[in-house]
Amino acid sequence: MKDFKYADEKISSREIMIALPAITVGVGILSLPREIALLTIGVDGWIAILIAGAVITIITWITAKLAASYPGESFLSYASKLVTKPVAILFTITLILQSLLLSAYVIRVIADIAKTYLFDRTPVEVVSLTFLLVVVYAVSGTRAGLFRLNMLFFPIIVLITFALAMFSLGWFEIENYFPIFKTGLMDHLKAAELSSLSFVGFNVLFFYIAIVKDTEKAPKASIYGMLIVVSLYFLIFLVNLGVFGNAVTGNLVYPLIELAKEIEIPGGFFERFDSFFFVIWIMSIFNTVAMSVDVSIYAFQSILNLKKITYLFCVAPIIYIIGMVPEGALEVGKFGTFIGYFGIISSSSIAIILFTISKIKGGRNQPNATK
Amino acid sequence: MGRNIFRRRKMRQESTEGESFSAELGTDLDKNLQDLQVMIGSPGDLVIRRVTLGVNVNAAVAFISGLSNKEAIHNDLIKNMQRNREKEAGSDTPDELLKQMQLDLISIGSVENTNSLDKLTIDLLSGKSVVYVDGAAEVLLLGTEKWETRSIDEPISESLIRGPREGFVENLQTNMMLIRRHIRDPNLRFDTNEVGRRSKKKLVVCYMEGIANPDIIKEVNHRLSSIDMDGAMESGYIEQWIEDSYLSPFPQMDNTERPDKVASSVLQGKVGILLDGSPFALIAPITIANAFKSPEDYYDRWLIGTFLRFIRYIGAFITMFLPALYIALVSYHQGMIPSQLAFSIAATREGVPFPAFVEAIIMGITMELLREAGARLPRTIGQTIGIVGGLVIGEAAVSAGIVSPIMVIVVALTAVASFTIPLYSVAISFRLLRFGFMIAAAVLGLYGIVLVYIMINIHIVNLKSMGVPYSTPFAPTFIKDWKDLVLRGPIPMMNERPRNLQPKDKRSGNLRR
Amino acid sequence: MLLSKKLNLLLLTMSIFLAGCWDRIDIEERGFVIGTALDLADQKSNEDYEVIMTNQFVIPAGLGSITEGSGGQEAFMNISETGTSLFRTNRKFSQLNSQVPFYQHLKVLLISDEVMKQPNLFSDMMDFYIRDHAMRRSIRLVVAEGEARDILNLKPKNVNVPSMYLDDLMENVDRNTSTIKPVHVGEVQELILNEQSYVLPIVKKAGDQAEYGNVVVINGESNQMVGSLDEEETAGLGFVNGHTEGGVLEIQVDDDLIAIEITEIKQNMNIKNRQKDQLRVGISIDIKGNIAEHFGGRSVLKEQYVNKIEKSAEKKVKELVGNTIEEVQGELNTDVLGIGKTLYKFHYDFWQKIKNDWEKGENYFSSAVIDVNANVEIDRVGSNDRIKMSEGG
Repeated sequence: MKDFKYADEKISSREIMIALPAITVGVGILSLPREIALLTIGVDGWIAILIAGAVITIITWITAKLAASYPGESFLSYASKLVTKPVAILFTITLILQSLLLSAYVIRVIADIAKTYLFDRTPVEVVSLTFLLVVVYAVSGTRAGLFRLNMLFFPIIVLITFALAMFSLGWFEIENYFPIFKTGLMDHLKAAELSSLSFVGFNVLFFYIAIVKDTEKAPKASIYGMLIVVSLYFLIFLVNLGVFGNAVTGNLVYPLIELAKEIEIPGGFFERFDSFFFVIWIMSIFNTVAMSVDVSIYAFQSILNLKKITYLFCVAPIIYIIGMVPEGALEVGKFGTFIGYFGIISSSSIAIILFTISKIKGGRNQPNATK
Repeated sequence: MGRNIFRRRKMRQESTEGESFSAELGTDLDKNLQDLQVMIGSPGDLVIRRVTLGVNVNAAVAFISGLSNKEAIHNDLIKNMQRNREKEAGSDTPDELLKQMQLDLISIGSVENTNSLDKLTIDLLSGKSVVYVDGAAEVLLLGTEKWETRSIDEPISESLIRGPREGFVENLQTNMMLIRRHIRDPNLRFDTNEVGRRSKKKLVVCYMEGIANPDIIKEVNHRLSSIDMDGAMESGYIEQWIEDSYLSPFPQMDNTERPDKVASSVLQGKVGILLDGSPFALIAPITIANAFKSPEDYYDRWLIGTFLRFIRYIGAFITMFLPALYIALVSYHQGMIPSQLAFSIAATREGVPFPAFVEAIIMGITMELLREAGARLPRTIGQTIGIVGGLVIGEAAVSAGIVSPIMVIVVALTAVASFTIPLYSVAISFRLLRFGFMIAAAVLGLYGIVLVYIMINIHIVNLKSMGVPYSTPFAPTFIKDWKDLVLRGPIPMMNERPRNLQPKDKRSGNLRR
Repeated sequence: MLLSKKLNLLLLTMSIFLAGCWDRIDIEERGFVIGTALDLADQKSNEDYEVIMTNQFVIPAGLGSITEGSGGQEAFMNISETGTSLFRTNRKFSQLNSQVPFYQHLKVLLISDEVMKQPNLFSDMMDFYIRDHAMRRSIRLVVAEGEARDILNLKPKNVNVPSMYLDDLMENVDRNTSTIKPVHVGEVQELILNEQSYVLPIVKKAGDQAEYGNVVVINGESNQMVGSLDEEETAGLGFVNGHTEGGVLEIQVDDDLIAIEITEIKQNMNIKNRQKDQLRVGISIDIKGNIAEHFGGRSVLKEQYVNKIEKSAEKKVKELVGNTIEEVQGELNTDVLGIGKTLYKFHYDFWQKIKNDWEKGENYFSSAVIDVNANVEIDRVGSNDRIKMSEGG
C-alpha cells in the first residue's frame, strides 16, 4: 500500500528542529540553575549558559554538517568510509551506550522527583517501570510517530515554561540580580562546563539526519533547534534568579520545580503549581527517553539487523536495571554527572574527529562524496 | 498492523470461487421463464405477464411488484407492446424485434440488454422489469425501479441551528441527488461499486476529480474492493471493514446524515462513500481535528465559529479529564485544591463510605446507564428518563451518603461536556477513554493521568486514516491548515484547501488577502 | 507484532493494577494542619532544646457550609507534642490523632519569642519547613509574644478557625504603619542563607482577639532575637526598607491635627562614600498621601497650607526614621535597614572587605552616618474642603 508522501518514515528538517530541543530538554534543566548559581555570584551564571550553549551549538552544527554531507547514508556507513569499519562500530557502540545510560538515568531521576513531589510511599521501582513501559509502547510504534510526538509535546513544554515565567513576575525582584560581573573567570568556565552537561542529546543527529528529506536544510535546522534550548535555559535561569536570588537558588535541589511551588496562579483552580508543573514536564522527559531508546535501536540495527521488538525487549530490562542500581540521591547525582561528561565528551569528540577527517578526505575526493 | 490484517482479508477474498449458477439465456421463452422461477424460487411478488407481439410472437414481462413502477410498466411498456402489432410484424427475427422495441416502442428511460441470467436476476431484484421475447437470446432490462421511501427529513442525529434542514434518506439515488444539488461540477464523480455477496448493494464513492488526491481515491477503491461479506446493512459495516486499525478507540471515518457536510468535505479533497439503504454517508480521510468541527462553524460568522470550536475543545478536555482529576486531587494531591475548597470537599465526603474512585465509577456508570436508557426508549419518554433519573438518582445518592455533592457536579458537568462534541462516534470514544483515565488516576494519581495521556498521544500519532496521519495538522505540522483548526478563519481568508490532504488543486479561491 | 503489542498492553495494565495505590489517602482521612505554634519547653536536656509543637487541625464538618450551619461543632482542634526534632515530633501526632497530619495547607507558623531568643534555634527549625516538600513556601511566619499556642486557642466571633483569622489579619498590611508585610518561609530561607539581619512581625493576645503589629529584630549571624521595635520605630523602619505598604501619618500643623493616609512609599538608598569607619549612607523617602482627616477650619485647597502640611509631614517622617536608626544602630546594633544588602549588591568588593566587621568586631554599621531625606506629596484632599469656617485660613 502506498502511503502519503508525508506519512512515511522520512522526516522533515523542521521535525529535526523540534526533536533536538525535545530530546535535550529533560531532567538536566530542573537542577541546572542550582549548579550554576552555586559557582557564580549574583546573576552571572547567564554567561556560563551562553558560553556552553554557543559551544554546543557549534558542535551540533558540526555533527549535522557531517551527517548531512552523506545524505541518506547511515552513521555506520559514512563513519566506515572515514575511519574504517571497526572504529566506526566502536563509535556506534559508544553512542548506543550513551543513549542507553541516559535513558536509565532519566527514568531513575523521574522516579526520584516524583517521589519528592507527588508520592510518599509509592516505590521508585514502580514509578520507573510504568514510565519505561510507556516508553516501550511508544518506541514499538513508528519512528515518524515519535517525531510527531515531539511536535505535539514540545510546544506544551514551551508554553508551560512561559506561563511559569509570566506567573513569576509578581515574585520577581530585579534586585536579586545584583551584584553583577563579580564572578572570577575560572568559576565562569567551571559553570559553563557544568551547564554543558545539560545539553546532552545532540548525538541523535548522527543517525536521524539520514532519514531527513531535505538534508541540505538539516544543519541550519539543528542550529535553530539548539538555540531554542539555549534560550529556554537562559529564560529559566533568569526567572529563577529573579525570584529566588542567588543564595536560595543555589540551595534548592530542583529550583525550577520550587519556582512553580513558590508562585500562586492568580485566582487559580490549582494551588501547588509544582505538582502540576512537574506532571506536564514529564512529557518532555518522556520525549528524551523515547528518542534516546529509539536512536539506540536505529544505531544498533545498522550493526546487527535485529527486529525492533526483539531489541526493545532485550534492552528495556537492561535500562531498567541500570536505572535502579544507584542508591540514594548522591549516587544518582554522581551517575548523572558521569553520563553528562561521558555524553558530551564522546559525542563531541566523535563529531570533531569525523568532521576533521571528512574535511581532509573531502578535499581529495569531493566529486564522489557529494553527488 | 491493521494494514497486515487488511492484506490478509484481501488474500482470502481472492482465493474464493464465484457462485456457479451463471447460465446464459436460451432462446426458448418457457425455458427462460422457468429458469428464472427456479433461480429466485417463484416468490409471491414476482409478476410474469405474457403478451403476444406482432404475428404471434410470444413474449413476457417480468417484474417484482413491490419494487417497480407499475404505472410505467402498464402505460409505457405493455400498452405500447399491445397497440403496435403492425409495426412489430415488420420485424423478421426475434432479435430484430427486440431491437425495434428498444428503439421504437418502449417509452421508458433506461433500457439495457443482456443475455446473462445472473445479471437479469439481480436487476430484477433491484426493481427493473425484464422483457422476454421468444426466440431471442437476449432480454431487455427496463429501469422501472420505484419503491416507497421516506421523504427527505431533517437529520435527527445532527441538527443545527443554522444550516440546511435536509438529510440523507435510505435511497441512494435521492442521496446522490442531494449532493449534486450542492455541487454542479462536471468533475464530481460518483463511482459505483457493488457490495455484499448476497445483498449486492450499490455503493457510491463520491469525490472531485482534479481536487482529491488520486492516492486517496486509489486507496479507498482498493479497500472497497477487498470487502467480502454477505450483506452490508448500514454504512457502519463498510466503515469497519475498510478502517485502518480496528483496535483503535477512535473512528477513522466520519459519518454524517448531512449532504452539505459531504459536499463541503468532497470540495476539500476528501472522499464520500454512500451506501444504498443507509442515510449515513462516510467521509474519509479524517483527522483528530475533525472531531471538533461542525458544519455550523462555517455557517456562522468566524468569531462565533471560533468560539464554538474553543468551547468544544474545553468540552473534550472536561469529558476526558474531569472525573480523573477529581479522583487524583481528592485521593492523592489534596494540596493542590485551594484550602477552602479542600476543607469543604472533606466535609462533604465525611460520610461517604467509598474512596473517590469507586464514587466516580458508580456515578459514571449511572450516567451511562441513563444515557443508554434514554436512547433506547421512544424519544418523549427518553427525555423524561434522563431528567427524572438524573435528578432523582443524583439527589437521592447524595442524601443517602453514597456520593458527595461535588461528585454529582463533576459527573453532570462531564455529561454535559461530552454532548458538545459534534462527532458522536468520537464523543463515545472520549467517554470510554475517560474510564481509562479514572483508573490511572486511582492508581497513580496525576502521574497516572499523564502517562495515559502520553499513551493516547502515542496511539494517535501512529494511527492513520486512509494513509493520512491522524494527528495532522498538529503533527506533521501544516501551519497553513491551522486557520481552520481551533481558529476558524474568516471565509475569504480560507482560500486554500487543507494541505494535509495534499489536494491536486491547492487553491479554492484566488483572492489574496 | 500484533501479539507483542497486545502483550505490552497487558503487561502495562497488569503492572499498574498490581502496583496499586500506596499513596491513596482520601481527603476526609487527612488531618489538615492549618496553623502551627512552636514553643520552648521548660526543660533542656543536654544541648538540645525541647520544643512544643502545637498543630491546629481543621475539622471540616465544623466549618459548616452555606446551607447548613456548623451545628455547634468546633471547627478546629489543637494538639501539642514535645520533642527535639520537629520531624519526629510531627510523626508523634499520629499516635494521638486518628488523622495523619497533612501540612500542604499550612498557612501560619507562630513562634514564641522564647524560641526566637535562643541562638540558632529558629533557623534550625526553619529547616523542617523548607526541606519538607509538603510545606508551601508561602507559609506566613509570625512571632508570638508569650506562649504561641495560646494564640491558636483564641476564639474570635467572626472566624471559626484561629489560624484563618490570623492569616486574614495579616492581609491588612496597608492600613497601619506599624504592621509589616507578612514574612514567608521562602523569604526567611533567603535571609538566613545571606546571613542578613531581619525583622519578623509580632502577634499578641488581646482578649478574644489577636493583635498584629510591631516587629522583633533578629540578628542575621546568630539567628536570634535581639530586641523589638515599638509602634513608632516599626513605622520608621517601614519607611526605610518598604516593609509597610501604607498606613496613617498623624501630624500637628499649627495645633490642628491632620491624618494623612499614605498611598505610596518609595525609598532609595545610596552609599555616598566608601570609608570603612565613616560610611555615609543617604536614604531618601518619597511618600504620597491623601488628607484623610483634618481638624480645624483652614482650607486644604490653598497651596501654601498644603505645602506647610507637607513640610511637617516630612519632618515627622524624618523624626520617625531617625528614632528607628538610633535604636538599631545603638542599642540593637543590627542592620535591619538593609544597608549591608545594598553594599553587597552594588558595592560587592567593598562589602567583601568589611562584611566581617559589619555588625560585630569593628562595628562599621554602628559608626555609619545615615542621612535621611523625606519628601511628602499630598495627592488628594478628599471630597470636602473644611468642616467649619474659621479665620486665619
